[in-house]
Amino acid sequence: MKKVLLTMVFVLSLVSFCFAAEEGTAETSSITKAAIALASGLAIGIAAIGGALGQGRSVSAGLEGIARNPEAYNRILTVLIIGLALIESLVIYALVISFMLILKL
Amino acid sequence: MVKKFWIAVSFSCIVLVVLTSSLFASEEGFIWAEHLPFWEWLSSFQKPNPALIDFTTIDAVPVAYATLVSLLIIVLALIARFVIQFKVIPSATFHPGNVFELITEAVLYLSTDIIGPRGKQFLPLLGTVALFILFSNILGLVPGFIPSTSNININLGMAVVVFIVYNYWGFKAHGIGYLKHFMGPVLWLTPLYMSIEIITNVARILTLSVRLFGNMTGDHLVLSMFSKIVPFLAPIAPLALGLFVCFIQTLIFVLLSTMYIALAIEKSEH
Repeated sequence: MKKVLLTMVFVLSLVSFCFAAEEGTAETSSITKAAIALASGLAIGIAAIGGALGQGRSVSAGLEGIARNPEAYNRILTVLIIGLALIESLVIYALVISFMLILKL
Repeated sequence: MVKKFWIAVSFSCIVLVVLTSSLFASEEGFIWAEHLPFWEWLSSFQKPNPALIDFTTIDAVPVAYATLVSLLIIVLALIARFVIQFKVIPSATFHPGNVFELITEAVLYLSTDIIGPRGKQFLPLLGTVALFILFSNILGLVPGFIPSTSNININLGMAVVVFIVYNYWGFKAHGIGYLKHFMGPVLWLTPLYMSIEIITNVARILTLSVRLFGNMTGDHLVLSMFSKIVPFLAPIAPLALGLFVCFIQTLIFVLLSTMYIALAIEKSEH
């Protein structure tokens, strides 16, 4: 019972994290809008270049490993999928920034 | 006999997807929660956050879907406990207990692989996280539902819980010596290492949540765009990709949480 109460108090004390809201509506001039549009396009574009290069290299290394040792297919596949998802997550962060900018237009 | 069942199920799923894909193509995109009797009350909880993006509003609608997913998991758990007789000898044909065993064993073997024999005590946390993320992601692919993990607050909740858990177990395993993990190899490099380690640890919360959020929101947006442009047969591509991404993202979340716990409680060999 004490443990339950302790965890409840702990969890409820973190509620204030959720309500971090800021005020501020700025009037966007046309050069600001142009800059925002340019930035949001460039963000995801450049991120996609790096992500695609990295994923291409990792897949090629995975395929080479499978070609050398076809029995290790399952183990290589597991590591390969995890690596691809981690590389892709960096591109996803850039995508989130791009979303944030687009909605500020 | 079983094979025909699965063929019929997949065929009917494809037919349903094709027929209902036009639902995505409506002006605003409709969600089933609009027909709830308490929809007015539910949608009045929106608190927009103009500093961050639109998807991080305090919104009760994804929480409603998260409640639905939780109820679904509870119902499945009750079925597994009270309805299904688990047999010790595996049966030759399809036994519904096999599905539950599959899910539990997957998470259990993953955690014991990475954490070691102590991994068994983390099965409730990791299994809950895995099931919740998996079901809410997959439910988001059905027309009319939104993935509840597409609201960053729900992902932040899970990531903060994982952060607290691995720090708590780190302190419990090492005492105050857990802070030695944050100091570098040499004592006078401690300020540099400490700042990097603290930033890394705080970034773990952010990366765990933002990765899941970005994937789910991006896939949901792509699906809705595809359905608006060509409602017939074209949404199959983002649906297939979305299904693949669902599984991968739950695997990544659970795997990373397991690795953070393992890093915190490992007994380093000198």
